[in-house]
Amino acid sequence: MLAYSGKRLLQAIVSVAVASIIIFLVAEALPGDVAQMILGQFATEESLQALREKLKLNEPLHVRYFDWLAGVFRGDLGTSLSKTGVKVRPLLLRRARNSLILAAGAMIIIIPISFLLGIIAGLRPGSWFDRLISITTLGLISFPSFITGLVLILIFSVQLGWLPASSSIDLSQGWLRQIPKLILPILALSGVMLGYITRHIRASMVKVLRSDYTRAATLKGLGRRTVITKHVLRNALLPAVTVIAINLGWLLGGAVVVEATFGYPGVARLVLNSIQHRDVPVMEAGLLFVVTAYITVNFGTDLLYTLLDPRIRYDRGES
Amino acid sequence: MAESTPNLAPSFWERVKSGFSYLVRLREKPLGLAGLVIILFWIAISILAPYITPYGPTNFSTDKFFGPSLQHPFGTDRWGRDVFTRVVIGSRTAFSLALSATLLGLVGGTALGLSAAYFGGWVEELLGRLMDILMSFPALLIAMFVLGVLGPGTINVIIVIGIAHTPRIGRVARSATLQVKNQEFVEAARVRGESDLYIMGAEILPNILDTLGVEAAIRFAYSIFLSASLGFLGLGVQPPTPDWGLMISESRSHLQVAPWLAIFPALAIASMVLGANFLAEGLEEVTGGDQ
Repeated sequence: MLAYSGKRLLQAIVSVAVASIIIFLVAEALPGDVAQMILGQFATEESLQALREKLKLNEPLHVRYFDWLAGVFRGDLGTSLSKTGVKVRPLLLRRARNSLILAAGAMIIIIPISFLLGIIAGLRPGSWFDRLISITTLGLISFPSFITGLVLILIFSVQLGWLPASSSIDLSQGWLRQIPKLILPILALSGVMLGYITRHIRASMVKVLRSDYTRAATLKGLGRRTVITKHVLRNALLPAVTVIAINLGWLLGGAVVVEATFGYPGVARLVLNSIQHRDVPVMEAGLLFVVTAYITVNFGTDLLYTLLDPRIRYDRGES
Repeated sequence: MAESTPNLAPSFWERVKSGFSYLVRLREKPLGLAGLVIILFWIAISILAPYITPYGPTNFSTDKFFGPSLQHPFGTDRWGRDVFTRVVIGSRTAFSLALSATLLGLVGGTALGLSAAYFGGWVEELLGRLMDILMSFPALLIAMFVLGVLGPGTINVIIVIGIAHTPRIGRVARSATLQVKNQEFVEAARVRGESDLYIMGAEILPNILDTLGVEAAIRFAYSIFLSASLGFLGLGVQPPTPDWGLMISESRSHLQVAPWLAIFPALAIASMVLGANFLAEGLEEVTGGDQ
């Protein structure tokens, strides 16, 4: 167990390190001269040189990489290029918190509903309820979240006028007043994942119900209720942990479409905007954050999975 | 897997044919059939596009923000362009993007997955790690990053989506190959002294076509989904090319006055993705895959 966790931790750290190198290299390779971008196109050659000197742009790449990395460890992520004078760290933390609120809200909706529907559908494969769930979830995963979002805006903002279409939340105005702004983005974000997770749980239920150990438990003379609660559910819901975790990672980085639809100030849209504005410090910090969060969540899931399922403690085999 | 594995060496084409035999069995699956009909409908639309569109996709006119009418079935946008024409022509954009990206991912993923499983050992280890790393990042994030560097545009979108597909298809190809590679006809080919390339291409590949077909349908649906999302974010196809995601993105500031600008392209995207997903579901049922 410890050996496995250690190996897995090492793997996660290596992944983050590799990702940080790639992010840095690609961000630095972006076309455009940073000094020119800050000073504008009419800057003199001397002032450009001075700024390059100050930003250490003339140093070799590996020196700058380790400088940047040291900054990351100190918690100093530099200053934004497009929003002059704005420190990257507080900006990133605020955006990350907003994204987390969105992700948590979506999870609160998704987990109970998908478990309930997936289990009921999986218990009776082929029944009318199972078919209904199958078609509905296929529908859910077929609508990109910007379409769901626009439909929600058309209905609840444009037609009914109940909820705001734009969600530029500001927590300083108090939590309660932000909730109406969160409802539509959370719903839009939930759609695709609700479909995916329900399908996974259903498939996993069907597979376990057909397995040898379920048959053995039934043949032992146990009642259907006991078989299902003691044997089937436990084994079928375990894989759901992984699926949910993968999607949690996705919620942090992949929510960009929802954030763009609603103008929500999350971390993914921060990254998108920084790429569009060639704001290198924000881009590097934002991407590193999202990737680290993603890898951390995956690592945490693997550990949790090992705790829950003793069979895969040492070797995870086919996944 | 095909239910009857040929033990005597059948011809290459026989094997390809049996690889596709499951298509016939799709008749019994209403959901898969519905998906097939939707996809065929869109194929017909995109082939006939120039003949059924009354206007040019980028023709400006003074009829701005006209609601749906006989003259403009889907209304007009803020430049007075006919939305029906743009949605219909947009199906060509969607198809060409999604088909090329799926094909790219299919070729790359199959090559990687098949050779990983076939050779085993360090090749498998190395390729497996590579795919793990590629898959450990959210596809949309990679796409954003790469398109930010390469710049937006049709070819770049195809490359990015194709690369995002590669490890996922690779994984499927690998596990399908593992089930086939130790069967007698592969052994027989090896005894005959056939080359590795021949065995992989002519012996194994035809036998994993059914699994790859299901995967291709799933990836095609996801390609439409991703390219629409990228278009919506402004990272995909650039204006004035009629692209569904882009059209929806442009419609946002006029949602109050002209909701049809969003509704029709949205219906187009949703129906095409839904069709491909239905088809994939049907194919999965007839090929007996459970995952």
